[in-house]
Amino acid sequence: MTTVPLALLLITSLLGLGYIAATDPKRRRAFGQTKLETRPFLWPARGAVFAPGVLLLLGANWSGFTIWAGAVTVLGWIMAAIAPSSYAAAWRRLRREGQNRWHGAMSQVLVFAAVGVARARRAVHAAASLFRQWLRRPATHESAALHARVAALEARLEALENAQGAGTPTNPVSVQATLNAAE
Amino acid sequence: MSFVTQGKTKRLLAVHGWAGTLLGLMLYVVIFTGAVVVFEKEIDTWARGSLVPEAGIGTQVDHHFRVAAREVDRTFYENVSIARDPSGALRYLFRGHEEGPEGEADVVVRLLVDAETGDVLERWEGPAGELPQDTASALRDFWIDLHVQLYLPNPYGLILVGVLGLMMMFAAVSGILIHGHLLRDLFVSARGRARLLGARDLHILAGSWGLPFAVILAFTGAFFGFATSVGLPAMSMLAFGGDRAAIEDTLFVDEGVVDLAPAPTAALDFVVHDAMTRSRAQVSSIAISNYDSAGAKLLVSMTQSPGSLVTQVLAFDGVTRRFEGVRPLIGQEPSWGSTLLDLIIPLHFGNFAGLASKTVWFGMGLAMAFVTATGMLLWTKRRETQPLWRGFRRWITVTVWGVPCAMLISAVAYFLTLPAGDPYFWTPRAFFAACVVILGSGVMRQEVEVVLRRATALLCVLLPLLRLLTGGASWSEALLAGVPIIIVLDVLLIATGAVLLRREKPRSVHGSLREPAE
Repeated sequence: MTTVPLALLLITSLLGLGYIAATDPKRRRAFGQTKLETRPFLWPARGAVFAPGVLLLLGANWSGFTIWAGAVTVLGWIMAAIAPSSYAAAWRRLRREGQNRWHGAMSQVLVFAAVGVARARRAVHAAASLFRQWLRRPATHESAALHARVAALEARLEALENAQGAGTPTNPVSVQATLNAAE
Repeated sequence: MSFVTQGKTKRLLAVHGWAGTLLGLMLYVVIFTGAVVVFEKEIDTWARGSLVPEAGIGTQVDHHFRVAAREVDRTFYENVSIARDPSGALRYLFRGHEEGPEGEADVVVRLLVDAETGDVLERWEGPAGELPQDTASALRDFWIDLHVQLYLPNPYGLILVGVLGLMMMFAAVSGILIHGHLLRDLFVSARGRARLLGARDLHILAGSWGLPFAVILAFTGAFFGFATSVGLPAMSMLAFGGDRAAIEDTLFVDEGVVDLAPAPTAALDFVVHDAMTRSRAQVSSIAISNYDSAGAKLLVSMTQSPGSLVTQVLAFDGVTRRFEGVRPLIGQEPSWGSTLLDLIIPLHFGNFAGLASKTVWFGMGLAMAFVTATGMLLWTKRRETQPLWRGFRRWITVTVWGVPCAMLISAVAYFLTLPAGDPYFWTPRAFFAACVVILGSGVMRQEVEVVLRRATALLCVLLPLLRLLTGGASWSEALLAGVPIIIVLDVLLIATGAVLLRREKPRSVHGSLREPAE
């Protein structure tokens, strides 16, 4: 399974876990938060947590399922280990930064950042690929020598095949091997 | 609702705590080193500065192999293997038998061949037991040895680690029985780290989330500890009259009389293509028994195919190239035991889906190390009024921070001695010397945690620099060669160092003893 679909499935599970954690009665009580009367999205959230795993199992993607299960337990632990006050403080800081520095919504900044990172990543990959190709280009004289060598080997191979044509049948393995060597 | 009565819970808690406390320090070393060596291949690439991208043996192996095999005596054709060496070269290993003064002995010829040109880079011939080690792999090998057998001689180290695995399993299961409110407390993070209740929350939270994988890792670890050190010898005693060779033949070697009449072995390139088409994976190695004879067999080991957890070994007739089926890992026919073993390997090593699965396994390993450390700290914190437990508490802190610090010091020794060619000698010695100094400073000083944290952070930051200064691959070389893992590990080390240096206060579990444990 490629990384992006797996990451999306993980995010789905973590969003579900996030809702369950944020509305968990014992967690709220332990950290002095107000008691919630109802948890309207509890079952959809539970569904979001487990549905990706079920999907992966139905698709017989055993390695994807194992990675998903492992990642959910590790990230779920980290998510639960952070106290609600830390989340609130981080959110307040994000909002303050957003209002003071950029005069806009944080979501906009995040979208711009994500697009920028993706573009930069593509550009770096393309540049590195071009640079690699440029470094590995064969020199003109090397290329000519290579062509001459291939021509000589092909001629030799033809002579060998002609010689063997009258006697023993040509062994395809040795022909393939000679061609490989010539290449 | 609790599963057991209050009295039984108390007794279980005592056993859980004592077992964890007595062997916990060693268990922590095994778990922490295990989490690190999940990336053993990447660490090896990084340490040796290998600029060859990780790959199988490739699709064009036949010609170079045949040319090289012509230079080896036919007596070594009994068992031949082709695999990729960590240095990036192809490694051909020819095994045979030779009559010596002490009877028949295994002899090998090892050729390291340039995968592109077919040039023989190195040839070694001699007794199988004296096969030289690759000095550049000293760091990886030492860290693996530390995890697998705590650097103790065989079989004692394996047995000890097996016992630790069983103990971890017991701790996980008894933890479920003791706690009882596993699901209810699944989202309760530490209520004040300085309090006893907070320490308990930290331990329970990490333990609850990591429970399924703790059981899996402990079981598979115990299996690896006992399989070769106790299981195989015991089975050979019971069923084969103590004949170790006979049990190995039954488990791993084809039965029947082999036709040794000379006959050309099939073209390996065709076999490789056939195997890749059948299993939709890369070829990791080829084993040829009785090369260039009528009874030749080819066993082609594959990497994991997409979506699969297990690897396959495909069997082919060595002369006709006829596909003979998927070869079980043990025995001649598919069995539950072989399937279980097939699953145990990827579930313990976490190497079934490249970096993604390794990263998750690394995270789980760290979580387990955290559970072990917080468990021991919680146990000693409850008894902090007694001087003996206070002293032991300091040893726990020293071990928790000292192990990563000593591992980094062993890496420093590795880089400094690699150019001289003796890192196998110095890497473990530097580790144990560092352990002695760290433990000594733990006895002398009260607050050694801060010193160790800073030392670890500094070593993390300096190690990439030392790697470069001692001739390691630069970032531009790594990028051009398509081996970004070297840069990734450098950046991760520097980032870890920066994070550790930024932390003002060490997170310890000191605090009042008067508070209840809920």
